[in-house]
Amino acid sequence: MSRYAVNKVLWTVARDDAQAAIYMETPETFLAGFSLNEEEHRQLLERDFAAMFAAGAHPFMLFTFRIKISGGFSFPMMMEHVKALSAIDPPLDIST
Amino acid sequence: MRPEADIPVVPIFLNFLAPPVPPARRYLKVGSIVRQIIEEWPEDLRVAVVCTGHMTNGVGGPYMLRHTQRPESEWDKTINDAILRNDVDKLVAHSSWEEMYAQGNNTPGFLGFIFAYGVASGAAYSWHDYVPSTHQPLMILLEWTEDQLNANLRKGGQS
Repeated sequence: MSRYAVNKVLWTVARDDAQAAIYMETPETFLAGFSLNEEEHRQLLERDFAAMFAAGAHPFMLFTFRIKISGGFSFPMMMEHVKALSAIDPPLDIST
Repeated sequence: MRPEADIPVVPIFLNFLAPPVPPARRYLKVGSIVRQIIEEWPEDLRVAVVCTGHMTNGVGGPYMLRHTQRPESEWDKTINDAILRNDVDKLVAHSSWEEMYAQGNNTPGFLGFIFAYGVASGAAYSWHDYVPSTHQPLMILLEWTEDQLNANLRKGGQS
């Protein structure tokens, strides 16, 4: 489990326009620069938000990441995000 | 805080959200220390302490929209009841990381209020507003006026 690496990807994409563009256009290339296991790689490639959350990705970073790759905040996007996360038993764990 | 930048501001950063978060009583203590520093400052300055804090809410997690269904929780009601009675011990007792976090991942931001109670050092608030709403997470606002804060000092009591 490399929760740190997943959070690092989320944070890097969320805070940096240039890095976000690389992730959007060539995700495989972008993700190759991080120490992710196979499952984490899949989650980030397929944007499996629920699986990342369940595995302990930081909810603030996960949501910020989603805002970024959605081209900004929107209410429908937030509704969809909450719906996806509500389907799993929330670990509610942001310990570091 | 003021675009005019005409008033000196001393920022104080307190960690509410990144574990390990200290017990609530420590925030009360820090507030009382800040109060003491202001009281003992050699210059005769008029100082306002402004801090943020909030009630139940969750950011980025499954509880992010809970207020749209349930504007206030039992925890919110318990806390507000203690606020109305100026029962600081009860506020501290219900401000453990575990209890607040279970309300939503951003709820430990209530520790900002505990800090404010430390600054108030026992004085009852002067103004209170509590706004459960389906439009945004529950809002609560407290104000201690200068007179209210300094009432104990004038009486020669503890501060």
